[in-house]
Amino acid sequence: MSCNDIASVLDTHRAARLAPAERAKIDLHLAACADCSAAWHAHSELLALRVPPVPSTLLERALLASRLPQSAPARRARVPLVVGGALLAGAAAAAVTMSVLREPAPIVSAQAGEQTAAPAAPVAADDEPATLGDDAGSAPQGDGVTSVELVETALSIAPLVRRPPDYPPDALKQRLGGDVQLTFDVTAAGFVENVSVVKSSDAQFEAPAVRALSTWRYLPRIVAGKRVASTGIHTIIRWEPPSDNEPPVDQRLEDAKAEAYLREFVAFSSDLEIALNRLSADDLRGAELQLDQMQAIYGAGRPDLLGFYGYLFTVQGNYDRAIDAYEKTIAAFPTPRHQRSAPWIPLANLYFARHQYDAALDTLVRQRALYETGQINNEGENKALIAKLRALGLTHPSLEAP
Amino acid sequence: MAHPEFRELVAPHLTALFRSAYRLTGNRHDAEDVVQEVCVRAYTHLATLRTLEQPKTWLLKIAYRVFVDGLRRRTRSPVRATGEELDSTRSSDEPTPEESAEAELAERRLLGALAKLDRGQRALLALQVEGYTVAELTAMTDLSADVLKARLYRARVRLGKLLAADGKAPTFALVK
Repeated sequence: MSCNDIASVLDTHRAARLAPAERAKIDLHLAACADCSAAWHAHSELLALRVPPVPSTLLERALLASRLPQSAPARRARVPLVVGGALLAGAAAAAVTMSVLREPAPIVSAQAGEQTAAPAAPVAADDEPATLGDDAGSAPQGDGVTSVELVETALSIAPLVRRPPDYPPDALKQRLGGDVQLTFDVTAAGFVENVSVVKSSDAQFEAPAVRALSTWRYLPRIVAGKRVASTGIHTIIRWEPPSDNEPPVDQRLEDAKAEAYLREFVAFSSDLEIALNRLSADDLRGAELQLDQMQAIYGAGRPDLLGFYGYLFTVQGNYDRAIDAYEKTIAAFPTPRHQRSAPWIPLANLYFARHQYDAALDTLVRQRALYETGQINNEGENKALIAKLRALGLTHPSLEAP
Repeated sequence: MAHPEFRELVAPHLTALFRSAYRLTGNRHDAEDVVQEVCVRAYTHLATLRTLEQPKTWLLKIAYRVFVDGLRRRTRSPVRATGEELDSTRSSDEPTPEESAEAELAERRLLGALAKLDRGQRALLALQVEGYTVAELTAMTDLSADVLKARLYRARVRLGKLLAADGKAPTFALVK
């Protein structure tokens, strides 16, 4: 028995299953050889080290980390990131401005069963007066279901987790902006699928747009109390080059702020994805616990969290709590302008489902009041509800088409 | 749809990755950082990962590099676990408190001794004791089998002697 033999036993993981005769020879050698004795002892100590179980959320966090932008963030470019429709102001971390359009989703009757595809036109950009595309007229107009008995529970899908797409390096160098219009499906679990480019200002923006959109998560639409897939949703992702004529700022301070912001955003998104995954797995209690925990960490006044509660309570069929959560969500938006992306339609639908028709109408009127006269707001989304209310004799001048 | 595919490729090896990363670093935080860094690097080579017959060996090779290179870019992994799991290192099939205290003491001694080895030695020991064969280790480390075996032996001897020296010293000393 030589030192090499001892090493070989250890190298080949045979130490634990030795024949008695071999074991005796080894013990003889170990007693005489200080090095081998030390090596043997070290090996058994190493084997005894207890390794904790894999943290349950490690995969999610590792996957998220793998999708973070890898290059250093470009300087002084603004990134209003949208989470759950809430614009997080003051972001300056990556190089993309996303003008997020509200994706229209039709309101589908619980009775109708199979829903029609979403309308093809992006509706309202949050920065500009909305311009409806040519095909806006073909958007579903509701389906003529106006009976009081038919409780409407369909909600529009709402974007929940968005990550900024990369800025194509050449475009950034040339300070070239661009936009890509895309269409995609959202599965019943909230994943984005079948992303395709409808048109783009420049082909080099297409790949990053598709890559980013493919990682986004949505709260899936609810039809008749069930989460369902949505197809043919449109969105536009827009890149705006960093501006030259911004006042000089303390760059280090700005970078530190951007870094801190990005960190919190990533942590928040990752926590939010845990809640989403639990929701997808029908672990409603687990999802709620995760939201509770997030509230403790990130504060109680975040519209994105409150909106998620509203959604979760809706899935649970707890409409009164859902209404309460959505009202709080709306109140949590900092300005009337931000309130435009609040969950008005889900809230109005919930009021309708609870037979509080005046409150449903009032919700639509409150939403309408956020827009200028003549400016079009989410026509496709709320038309069906307006029609149903009208059939009940409930109308408001501001809601009538000009 | 790169992301679901990446998940499918990586998920089966997550346990192996985490276990090795824990053995490499000796604590959960750094182990998670290693795993995240491995995923970050692997994601940028998705095309390669896709074609591999032994993705686990390849992922562990990255983990080995990440550790030996000193996890330089750890600041880029801001993604952390929250609350629940940070403190629940121990699983439920716990030994008794006394056994646990003793085992913990032994663990601390072992980790202390490991910290005195250089990263290369430590990495070899960590991966070897996770059960990988010499052939797998050579693939992970790019060392020849002879060099690998020699270094493994030296690393064990050194660790054993560090442990022995530590064992002779009084574990607790009264401080006046």
